[in-house]
Amino acid sequence: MKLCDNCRKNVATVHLTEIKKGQSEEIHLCENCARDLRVPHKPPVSVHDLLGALVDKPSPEESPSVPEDTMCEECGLTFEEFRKNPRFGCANDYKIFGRSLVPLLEKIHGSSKYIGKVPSFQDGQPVFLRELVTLRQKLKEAIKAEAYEQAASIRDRINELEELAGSPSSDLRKGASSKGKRKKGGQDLKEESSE
Amino acid sequence: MSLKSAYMGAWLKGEGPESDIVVSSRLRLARNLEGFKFKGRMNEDEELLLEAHLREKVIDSTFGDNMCYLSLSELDDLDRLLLVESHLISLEHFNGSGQRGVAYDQSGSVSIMINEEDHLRIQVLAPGLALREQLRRINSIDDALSEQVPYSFDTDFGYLTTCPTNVGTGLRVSVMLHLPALALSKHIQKVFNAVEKVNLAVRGFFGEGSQALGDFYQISNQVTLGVSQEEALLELDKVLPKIIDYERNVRQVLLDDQRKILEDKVFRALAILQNARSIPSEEAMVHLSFLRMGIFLQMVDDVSIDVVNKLFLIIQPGHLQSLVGSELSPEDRDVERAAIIRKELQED
Repeated sequence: MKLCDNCRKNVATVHLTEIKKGQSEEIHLCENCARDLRVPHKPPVSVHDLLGALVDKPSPEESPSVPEDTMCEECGLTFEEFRKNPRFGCANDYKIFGRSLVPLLEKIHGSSKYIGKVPSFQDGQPVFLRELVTLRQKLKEAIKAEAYEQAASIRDRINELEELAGSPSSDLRKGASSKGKRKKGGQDLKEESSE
Repeated sequence: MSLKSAYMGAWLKGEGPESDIVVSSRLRLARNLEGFKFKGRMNEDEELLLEAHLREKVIDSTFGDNMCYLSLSELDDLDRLLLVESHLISLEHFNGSGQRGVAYDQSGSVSIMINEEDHLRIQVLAPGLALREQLRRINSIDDALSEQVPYSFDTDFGYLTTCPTNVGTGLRVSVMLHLPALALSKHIQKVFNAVEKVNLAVRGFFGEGSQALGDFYQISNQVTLGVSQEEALLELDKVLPKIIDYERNVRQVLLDDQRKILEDKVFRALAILQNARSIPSEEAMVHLSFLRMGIFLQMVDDVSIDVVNKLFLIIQPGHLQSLVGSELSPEDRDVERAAIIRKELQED
């Protein structure tokens, strides 16, 4: 780790080699000092800069995207802001931008469906959510094993559960007809839950 | 509260499976709590509230020995530097702002950052290649915390995070490799190309946004959505043994074909380290890297790997100034660094 030669406090991220009278000298500066000293440099490309390029403006015929001015009531983030700097402001953003996130997440991860462990649920969380996550793993395994009949029945069950949960992928399947009618996070099913 | 206890990090002991090539295995989980906005949208009061809510819970004695908590806003620059050099906090946490902190155990093998990019960043660190064991360990911490604080979780997207690159499992597995022979023989680019093809990333010594120093490279998974934790580990399992074998093979080829040239490099490095009167950290890292390889190739038998691994840490600016006990100019640091290296190599 190299500290900035100028302020001697921050970590140096701009590394220069200056050649004076045939002698080369290395200079290490932090981002702030490099800017203050007007050292021409390219700011490091962050993951977030690259992400911005991935959040496309939807073409008009792609109906499922949320409007630019969609705003989260909880944190105040708009979809337009998110598109420019793809960082979420709160958990609710994932719900309100839901459908529009599917293509972005597919570009980053090659998938928009969670597979993995499920946290110990708090009161009122429906049991079927756990089943849904487990079934996605089973579907992947069935396809890998070329057990297509089994895979098809798992997929049907997943679709049912996603519809119950009001999942964005279920919305996308139904297309534009369901626009704006999304159920909120499967709340209406909590009564059926035994957990 | 102040640290000033320079050398931490049992993970630097040079033990563990494949330790000739694999320096350390690091796993981290990104988690956010229900009922709080994410870091970027919280005001100072909310950050304080969250920190207060979490700080007692993260020093749970079952997570590690003598867990302690430090609030970063109460630390001076040097202490924060010690934490980042010891890999207990990330560069982002070091450079960050606002109310934030870190809990860690005595050996430096567990650290839990509060209010980094996400509310919680749980990290475990171990020497050598130990992914399965460390995954079990991090999950037990995660499960214990999830019973105390409800996480933001969604059936479609998994664990919700500030950045869409972490959403899903929130798991980042980083394996630090020492690849001097591949770098020397200019084969390293082939490794990078292969690694990137399978969706893994290569990073420098201090993780994201840092330079590769002394031929140390971190390989980590990128995909966190649509793959389980176990599948993420399997991706690394496919690649790591190949890179490890590749490095070992190139070391052997160099030994067979160019033994004298290789020995010359190792012993010149040792001679400089034993004799220099002023040395910048980059230069020291380069020579320590050759020395480390020389020890594993049994060329050098009177320097222990523990000392070399320890030197990689204590020659960094923060640890160096903490050992000396005062702030130093870069020029003075180079002089003190050379003295410390000479002393450590002599004592050994």
